[in-house]
Amino acid sequence: MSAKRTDQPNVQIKVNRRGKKEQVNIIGVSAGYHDSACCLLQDGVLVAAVQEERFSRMKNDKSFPRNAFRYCLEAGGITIGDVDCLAYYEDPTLKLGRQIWMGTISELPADRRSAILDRLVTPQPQAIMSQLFGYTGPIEIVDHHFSHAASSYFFSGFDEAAILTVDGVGDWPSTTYGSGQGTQISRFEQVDFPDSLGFFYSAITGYLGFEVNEGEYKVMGLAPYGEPIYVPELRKLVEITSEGQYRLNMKYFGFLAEESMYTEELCKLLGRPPRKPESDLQQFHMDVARSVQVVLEEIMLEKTRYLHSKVPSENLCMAGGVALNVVANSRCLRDGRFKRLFVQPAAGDAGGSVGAAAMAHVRLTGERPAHKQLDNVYLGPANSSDETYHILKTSSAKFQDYRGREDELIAYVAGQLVEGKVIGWLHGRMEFGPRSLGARSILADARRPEMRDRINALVKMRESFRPFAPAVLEHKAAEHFDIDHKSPFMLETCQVISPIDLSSITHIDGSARIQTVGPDANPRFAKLLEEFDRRTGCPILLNTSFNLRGEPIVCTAVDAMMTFVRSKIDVLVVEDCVLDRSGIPALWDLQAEMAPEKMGEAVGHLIYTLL
Amino acid sequence: MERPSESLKSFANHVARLAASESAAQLTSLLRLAGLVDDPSGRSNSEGAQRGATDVVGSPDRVGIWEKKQEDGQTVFVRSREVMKDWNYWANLGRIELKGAKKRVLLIGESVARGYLYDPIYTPAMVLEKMLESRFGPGQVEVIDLARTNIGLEVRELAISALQLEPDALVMFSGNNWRAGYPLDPRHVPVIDTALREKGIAGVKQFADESLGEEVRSVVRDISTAYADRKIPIVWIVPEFNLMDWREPLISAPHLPDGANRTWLELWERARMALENGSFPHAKDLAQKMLDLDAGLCVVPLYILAECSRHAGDREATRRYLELARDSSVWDPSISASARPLAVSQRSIREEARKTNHEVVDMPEILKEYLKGEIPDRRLFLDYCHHTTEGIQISMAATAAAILRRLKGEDVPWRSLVKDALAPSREVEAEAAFLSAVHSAHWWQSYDVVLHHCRQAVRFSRHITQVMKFFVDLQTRRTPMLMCQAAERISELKSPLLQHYLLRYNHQQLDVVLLDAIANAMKELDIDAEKDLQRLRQEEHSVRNRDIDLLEYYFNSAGLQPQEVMWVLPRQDRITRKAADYYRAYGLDSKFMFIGERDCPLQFTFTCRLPGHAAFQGAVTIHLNDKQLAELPAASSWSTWDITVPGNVVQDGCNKVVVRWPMPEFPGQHAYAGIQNDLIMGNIPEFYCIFGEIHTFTVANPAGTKTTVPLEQHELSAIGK
Repeated sequence: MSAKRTDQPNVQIKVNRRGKKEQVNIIGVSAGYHDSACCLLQDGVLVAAVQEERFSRMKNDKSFPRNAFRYCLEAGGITIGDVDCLAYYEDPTLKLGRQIWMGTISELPADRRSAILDRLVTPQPQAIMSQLFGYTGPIEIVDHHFSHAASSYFFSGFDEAAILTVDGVGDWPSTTYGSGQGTQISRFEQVDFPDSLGFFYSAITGYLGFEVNEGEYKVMGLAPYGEPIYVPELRKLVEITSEGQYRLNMKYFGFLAEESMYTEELCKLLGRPPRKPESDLQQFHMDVARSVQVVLEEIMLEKTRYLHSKVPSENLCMAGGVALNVVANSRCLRDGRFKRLFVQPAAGDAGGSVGAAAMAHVRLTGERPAHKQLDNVYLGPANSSDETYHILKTSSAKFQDYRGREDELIAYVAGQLVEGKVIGWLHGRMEFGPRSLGARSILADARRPEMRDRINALVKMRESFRPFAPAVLEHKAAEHFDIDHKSPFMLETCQVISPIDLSSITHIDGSARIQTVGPDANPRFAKLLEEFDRRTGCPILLNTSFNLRGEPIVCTAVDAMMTFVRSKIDVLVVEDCVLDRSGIPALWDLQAEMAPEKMGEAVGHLIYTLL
Repeated sequence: MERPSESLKSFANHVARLAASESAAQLTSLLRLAGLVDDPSGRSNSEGAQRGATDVVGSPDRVGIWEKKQEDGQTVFVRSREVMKDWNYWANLGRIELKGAKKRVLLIGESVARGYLYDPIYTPAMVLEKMLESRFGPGQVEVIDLARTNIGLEVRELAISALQLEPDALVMFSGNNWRAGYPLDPRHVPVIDTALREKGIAGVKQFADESLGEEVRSVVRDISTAYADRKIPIVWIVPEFNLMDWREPLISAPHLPDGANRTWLELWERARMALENGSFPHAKDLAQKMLDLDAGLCVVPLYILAECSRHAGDREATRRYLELARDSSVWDPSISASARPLAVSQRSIREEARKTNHEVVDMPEILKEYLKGEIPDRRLFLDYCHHTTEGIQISMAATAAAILRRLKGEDVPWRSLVKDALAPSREVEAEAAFLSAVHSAHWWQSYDVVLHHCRQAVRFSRHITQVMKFFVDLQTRRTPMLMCQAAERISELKSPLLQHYLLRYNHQQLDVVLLDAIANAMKELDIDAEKDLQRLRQEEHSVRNRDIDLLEYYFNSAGLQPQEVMWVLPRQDRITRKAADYYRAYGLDSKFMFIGERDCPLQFTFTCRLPGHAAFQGAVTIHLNDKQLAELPAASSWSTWDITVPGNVVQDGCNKVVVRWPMPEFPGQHAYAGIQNDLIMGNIPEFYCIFGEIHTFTVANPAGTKTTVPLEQHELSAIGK
């Protein structure tokens, strides 16, 4: 049967059936555990990637990423019929095996066992995706840690590399050792659940009163305030065994059966009860944080050395949640035997979607995805400047319109920063991964010592010990930081060597987690830094994520406006429009209060959502 | 905790491989439901759900949102900040004092008892108190308003906890939200599964009816007994429904045995034509055949039969069919039906309340008498079940008469109490009527009904035209509603009703029926809103300026097809199936609207597929403003089409697009397996046949849309500057 146009008198209608697009379109999916996401790989080029939480507005949303999937189609200019393959980031059957294994613990509490039974009656991800997305083509299942490994290696630009993946848990493994060579990734050793460096660190995170799977970076930030006096005790938690292996001493860990990551034995070992969330932090907590960081670094260093002994490459690729521990990464690079390190910017589970898609690309085409180091992660949705203007114009907001006058906009914002204003900044495509890198950022003058407390009070409401990060002009980074290469993803720490007092972005140990900014990846942000440098002699801005505590980073212009309303940020720059607090209409408070209903699935933070 | 044995890993993986199939999951579920696999936690879904709901409405230290406190040795109930999110659903009452010398009457119920669309300015509790005061004397009686919008069968816990307030009498004005909920009580799943196998969906309906009857009886019995034990009289109000004017959207029948849906659809088409031709006996005959096929599961034949009976002057038959239509959805959680008192609830209240010698105010009987046999309609109802002032006054007069009988021993005819009843101002009436128009339009009511409420509004008070202009503006903007200038203007009017309902519970949509009705009603006062509306629609939504996604809620909702819009509904307060993130057609036609401009050509991009097995193919036709544009071969895999249309078939303003699907292969009872599976898995089942699916449907200006907003532009606005 062929299509027929139905011409009316004087009406010429053209009807064309679209053939499938010639390029290979693969959509990677991660879901069901933490930070669900989708990405689109077109002919091996990563053209879109986004976490579902940015649309659903549910932080760490784990639901199947319906909005992210739609966005990927739109970003790639394709329809559902053009998708060659879905790639799912873990093996559901292996994961189910691990869950059933947990159910064999004889004294497992009834609700845990019941939850395992629930898993047996829950549809498999393939069936859910087929129904939810309407997709009926092939689905490539990629083992969780292969997804992590691929997400790093295939985007590292290395021809060959050793690969280390470390996280809490996926299906069975929690740590894997392997290598990449051309199109091939191989694994020669793994450490299986329940032994897990991720859980080791998370157990202490929970003990210190922070949210598990969310507060680990707070522990890392707290560590420099303490002394490593509990290292001997914490070493008892992990027994280092031969080769790449290690073993958790389960008497200190409760995650197999309890609603807690740790047991009473840990409290006895450390001689104190766990810290209540939000209570005062004492020196003891800082010392424990420092100690756990030291122990983690020791193990990571030893295991990367072991990996090098097996894969004597100059290049190391890392991924998995533990690879977001930038301090440990830096130590592995500094004190280890690898010369170069690549960490995938969305190293956690969201990034697993990218790795799964890359693996599927290799399986389908026999070729490696685009052989070039990932140079930016501006892979999410953008807002139209005109649409943003239209929203403001049809409201009662008082704002400035800088459309077509970027230089004036930059000059204005730089002036505001010099005056000490805190700026909410939204421009271009949204970042993929946990870091704001100048597309959805809060910016301020890093030279002002009061800025850390001020931003905390205005918007972040976070712990005062946590440092903010700097964004620095790429070509001037070495003048202010002890670093000799680009760091575009805020995934490395280095010492601050600047002659300028940068106390608001300098950690207590003199380090900073820097983002270097060049004109290619984010021209407008680079221009702003240039202008600020021209005015002040300082090519550095404080850069933190544009969100309120407990919320995902803003995505749309309206998200940014509503977050601006609910925070106390001084100035909002949303694409080419600028408004300050005096320009906010009265009724926007109500709109902000009635933010769109959250559609996603929240993640529990008492314990890893093992099930 | 010791780790499990390493040797069990291989065993666990083996079990996982066996378990990772749909049939294995189903088997596990069935064994669990049958009690053959113990649920280790011993939990019950329904227990959990119920506990959550009842905790909010009542406990030993709380009545609704008011928690018990001791102040200066006195017990008072103070609105709890812990449940602040819930405050909007209740009376705006900060505290409930210790009972004093006044007679204390409690009023419990749902939104009807709240006085929906008049509340907080005018409520049944106020009317009742005033009526009682006229007999007890000023300050001698108080009515405590414990009605909560959206409350269901949890009125039991609320009523029992309300004994803490030491009432002299209780008024129960409830029953509109009493329906079977989902997820089902797991204990019911095997029963429904059996009913489905033996009697099809009609068996599910029968079970829903019976189990709701049991539940209602138990609720009425528990409340009645608890109050009878303390010798506190209850006035049970049996609620009535807007039978004459409220219409459910006309949707296809659910899966019928032996694939009888095809015959049913053909009969519907013939009956529709018979009605159009005025051939009522023929239409009646055809509708009766439809009813025989669907066993009362669907409103369509019942409405046709009601219409034929009305035409024949048979009022009782008309009433009967309309009542059956009202009750036809009792079994179906998958569609978003408005609140209603089902016959089984009405009957159960009457019977159980009388057993314990409580008072019964039977609104169906009272309104029948009041209307001299006519069927209740828009005179008494703002929508499906919420009363107009007249309806509130009658129901409260009958209630007051019953209370006076019990507390004062006086026998006062209720009609005598209506005469001096409290009434709202004309401005409030206008606002309530306008809100009713908005509400009715968003519940897919006809242009006639929506226009009626708009006209009522402008007749009550001219000030409402200003609100209407603001509303037209904010509803048509792309800017989020509360960010619009027009919303600011409405807010500045300081009307509690507009603030509460219009700015809280509205969602922007193309709203052709409503906005056109508003413009039409304003014409009565010689206000030309039509021109502004058209101009604004073009400015904001013309396809000349921007690409349109017809699947977006704003445009999709203009098709007035509730089942088809559920997947993009921007609210979660209605039960919806969201298992599929694409458009599913539940009838032969899928309808959309967009704003076009004459002579602006169009390019449609359309990705569709047909459900069912791979061999099924058919032709899908696309129509623009009743002109067929294309006939597309479609199959079970997605195909994408680009259709370019010249500008001379495009209209200025609203353009109607219809996708016409081929008659599907109806699965009949084969579909029951899917329903059973959904029931077992705790999902809302798919009871209806899917005719076609759309993944992409956009319309654009093939010349490219205008991408730059002029730096200095003249902003067209319905509200002016």
